[in-house]
Amino acid sequence: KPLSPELVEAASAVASFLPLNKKQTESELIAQLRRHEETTDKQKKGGTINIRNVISEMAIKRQSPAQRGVRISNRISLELDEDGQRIKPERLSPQSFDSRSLKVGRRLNIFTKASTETENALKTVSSPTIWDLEFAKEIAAITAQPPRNGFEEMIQWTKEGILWEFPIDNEAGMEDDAEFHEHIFLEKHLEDFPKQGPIRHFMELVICGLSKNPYLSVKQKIEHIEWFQKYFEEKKELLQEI
Amino acid sequence: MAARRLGASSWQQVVLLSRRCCLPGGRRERYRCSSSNTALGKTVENSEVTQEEIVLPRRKIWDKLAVLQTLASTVNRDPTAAHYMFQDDPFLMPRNAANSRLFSLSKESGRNAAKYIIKQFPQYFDKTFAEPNIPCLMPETLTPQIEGLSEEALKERIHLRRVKDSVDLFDQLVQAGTPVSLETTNSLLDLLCFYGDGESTPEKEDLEEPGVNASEQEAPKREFQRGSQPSGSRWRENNNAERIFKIMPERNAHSYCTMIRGMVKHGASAKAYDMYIGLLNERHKADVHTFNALITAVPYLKERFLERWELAKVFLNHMAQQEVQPNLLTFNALLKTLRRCGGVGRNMALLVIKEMEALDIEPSLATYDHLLFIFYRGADLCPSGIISEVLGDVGKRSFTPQDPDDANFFATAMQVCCDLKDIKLAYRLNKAMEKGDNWKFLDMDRLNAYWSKFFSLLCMMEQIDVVLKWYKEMSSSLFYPTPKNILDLLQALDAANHLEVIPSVWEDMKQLGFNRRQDLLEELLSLMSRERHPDEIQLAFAKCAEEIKAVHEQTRREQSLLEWTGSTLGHVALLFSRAGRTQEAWNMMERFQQISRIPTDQVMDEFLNCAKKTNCPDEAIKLVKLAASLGLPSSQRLKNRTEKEFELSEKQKKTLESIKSDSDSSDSDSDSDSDRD
Repeated sequence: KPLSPELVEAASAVASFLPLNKKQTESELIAQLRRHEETTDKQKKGGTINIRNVISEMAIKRQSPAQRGVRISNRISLELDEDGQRIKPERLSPQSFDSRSLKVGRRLNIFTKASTETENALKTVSSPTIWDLEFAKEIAAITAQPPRNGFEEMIQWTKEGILWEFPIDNEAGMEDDAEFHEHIFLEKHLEDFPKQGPIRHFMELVICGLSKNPYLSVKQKIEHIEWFQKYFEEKKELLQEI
Repeated sequence: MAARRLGASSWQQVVLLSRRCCLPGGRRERYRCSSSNTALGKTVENSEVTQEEIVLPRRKIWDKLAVLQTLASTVNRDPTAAHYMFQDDPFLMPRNAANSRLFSLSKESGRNAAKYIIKQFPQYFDKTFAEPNIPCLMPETLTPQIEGLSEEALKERIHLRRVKDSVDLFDQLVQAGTPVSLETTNSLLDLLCFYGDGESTPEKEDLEEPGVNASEQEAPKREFQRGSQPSGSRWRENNNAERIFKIMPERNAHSYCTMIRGMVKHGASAKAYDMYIGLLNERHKADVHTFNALITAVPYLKERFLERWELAKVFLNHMAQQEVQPNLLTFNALLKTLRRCGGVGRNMALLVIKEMEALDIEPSLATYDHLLFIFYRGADLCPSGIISEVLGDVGKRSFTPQDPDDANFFATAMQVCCDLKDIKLAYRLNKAMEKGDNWKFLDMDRLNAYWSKFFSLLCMMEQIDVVLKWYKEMSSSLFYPTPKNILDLLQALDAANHLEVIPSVWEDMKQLGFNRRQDLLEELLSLMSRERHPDEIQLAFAKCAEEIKAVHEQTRREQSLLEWTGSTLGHVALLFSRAGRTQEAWNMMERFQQISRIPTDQVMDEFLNCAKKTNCPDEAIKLVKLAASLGLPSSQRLKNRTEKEFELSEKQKKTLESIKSDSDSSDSDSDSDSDRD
C-alpha cells in the first residue's frame, strides 16, 4: 500500500529543511512512515504481537510480601473475614488444584541457624522453674494412657515402685555398704580382749549373737563391741581384785 | 574254669583300657593315668581347649522393664472385650460411649478419693508394712518444717507451693526489713504468675464432670486430666504478683519474663505487651519462652489479620536481634496464631514450615495439626496435596509428645479425611496412628470420636462386607457406635440391599441403649417395612417389631412413655401383617384412633392380605368398620375386597352390609352436598 502523497511531500519538505544529506533523510523518513503503516495494518488485522518485545521493556515491580499476601488472600478467601476486611467472592474455581506443597517454597528468612558452639555458649544452666516442671508434667500427661493389658499395668506399677523388680534382688531397698562377711566374721574386733578366760568366752557369745542379727548395721555392731570393751576397761580394777 | 577265664579276660580289658589312656600323650604329665574317673574326665577336656582362647561372653544387663515390655508386645487387642480398665465384673462393662466415659471417670475418682484420705489423715498411715518401702503410697509430708521469719522458710513454702503462706511471709519479711534475695523473689514471682494468684490446690473442689450424677460423688474429686490447671482464673488488677513486682528494689530479665508469661496465661494480653515494652526499655533480653507466650497472645492484641501477622513478625525480628534461638514451640505458637488469620495464615504457613526446616527443627504433631486446620478449615476446600504430604511425614516415624496441642492431631486429620470424603487417606492415617507410640496421643474421648468418624466414612465409601468386617472388629472393643454411626450403617445396608442384617443391628442397638431413640426407630422400621422379603426374614422382622412394640409400652421409673407416631405404628402393623400375626396386627390398628392418626392404604391392604391368608374374616370386617368410622375414602374399596375375597357366613355378610349403610349415608351426604354445589 503506497503512502499517501501528502506524507511523502511532507517528508521531502522536512528533508530539504535539514542541512544534511537530503536524499538520505528523505528516504529514512519515508521508510519510517512505511513501517508505521505496516505496523498499523498488522495490528488492525490482529496480527501476532511480539511478546518478547513487549515484556523485555517491562520492569518488574517489587511488592512487599504483605501486599502480595493481601492480594492473594483477597482473591482466595471466601469466608467472612472476622476483622472486617472486604468479603471477596471466590474467584478461583473450586476444582482448581492448589499446587502448594510442603516441600517447595520460600522461607521467612528471619532466623539463622546457630552453630553448635554458640548454642552451647548460650545455654545457661539453671534449675528448672515451676513453669518448666509443670510443662514437663503436662507433656507427660499427653501420652499417659491407661494400660491396655495386665503386662502394661505391671510395667506402670514397676515404674511407680509398687511392684518388685524381677529378677528379685533380696537386698532391694536396703542400703548397706558392708559386705556379708563383715557382718558375720567379727572376730577381728576381739583383738583387744584377753585371749582366755570368761571375758573372752562372753565376748565370743556376743559375737555369735551379733553375727546372726540382721537388723543392726555393721557400724552398730562395732559400736556394741566397743561399748563392751570400754565397760570392761573401766571394771578392770575390780576384776583384777577378783 | 569259666570264672577264671572271665576274670582273666576282664583283667586284660582293664590293662588295655589303662594302656589306651596312656598312649596318646604318655610323655606329658597331664595324661597320667589315675584311678579316679573324675580326674580322667578333666584331663581329657583340657586337652581339647589348649589351642583356643576362652572368651567369656559379657554379662547382659537387662533393664528392669525389659521382660515385661517384651511380654506386653506379644499381646494384641482382643476384639471381643472392652478396654482393660473395665475388666472387672461383666455386669459393669460399659455398653456405650457415655457409660465408658462415666466408668473411667469413676475409676479415676476412686483413686483420687483414696489419695485424698491418705492426705487428710496421715496419722492412720504411719506404719510401713512393705519392704522395701513404697513411697508413692505413703502420705507425703507437706507441712513446712522451718518456722520463723527467714528467707529459708520462704524458700521452703515456695517449694511446697503454698501461695498464700509465701505471700504473707514475704510481706512480713519486707516489713521487718530483712532483704530478700533477687533469686528468691523471682521464684516467688514464678509461683504467683503460674497460679495467677489462686491457690495451687483449691480447698473446695466443685468441679463437676459433665454427665456425672451429683449424688454419686461422695469425696471431692480432682480434675480428670492430671496436671492441668483451671484456666478460668483471670488476672486481677493489682494482684499480689503485680504488687510484689512493683515493690521489688531491683528486677532482672527473669522478673519481667515471668510476669509476661503469667499475664499471657491468665488472659491479660495487653498488660503483657506493656510489660514487654518495659523489658525492652530496661535493655533486658527476653528468653524464648517469653517470646512464645507473646506470640500466642497476638490474636488478642490485634483484630485485623494483616496486623496480627505483622505483630508476630515484629516479635520474631526482636528474637533474632536479641539472639534468642527459636524452638519448636515458637513455630507452633506462630502457626497457632496464623490459624486465626484467615487467608493471610494460608499464605504464610508454608513459609513458616520452610523456616523450621532451615533451622533443623523437626515438626511435631501439633505443627501438622495447625497446618491441617489452616488449609482445610472452612468451605473453600481447594483440593491440595498438603494432607497427603503431612500423612507421608507422620507415617514415617513414631512421635514423642513435645507440645500440649499434639493430642489434637489425629482427630483433626480424621475430620479432614471425612470432609474430603477420601477413604484412602483415612487408611493411611490409621497406619500412621499404629506406628510406634503414635496411638498414645489419643485419649478415651478422642479415640471414640476418631473411630466414630472413621466408621461413618467407611459406611459412605466402602463395600458393605468391608464395613461389616470393621464393625465386628471395632465395635465395643475400640469404640462405641454413636447414633449417627448406626444410622450410617443402616443406610449402607440399604444401599447394598443387605437388609437381612437389620435384626442383628437391632440387637446391637438394644445393647448400646439406643432402643428408645425415635429417629433410629423410624429409620429401622421404615427400612424393614418398605418391601416384601422372603419368609424367614419377614419373621425376623416381625420379631423386631414385637420388641419395638414392647419398648413403646414399658415404662421404667424416670423414663417417660415413648410415643407412637403414625409412621411407626403403621410400619409395625405392616410387619405383623406380613408375618401373618393377625391378632397383633389388629392390636396395632386399634391404636390409630388413640393417637388420632390414620393408617395408610398400604397398611390396610396388607392387613387384609394377612387376614385372608390366615382366614380371619372377622378381622377383615373389623378393619372395614374402622375405615368407615374414620371416614376414609378407601373404605369402599376395602369393603369390596372383603366381599370378594373372603368366604363370609350369613351373619358376617349382614354385618358387612350394615357397615355399608353407614358409608352409604355418608356417601349420599357428600353426594347431596356436591349436588347442591
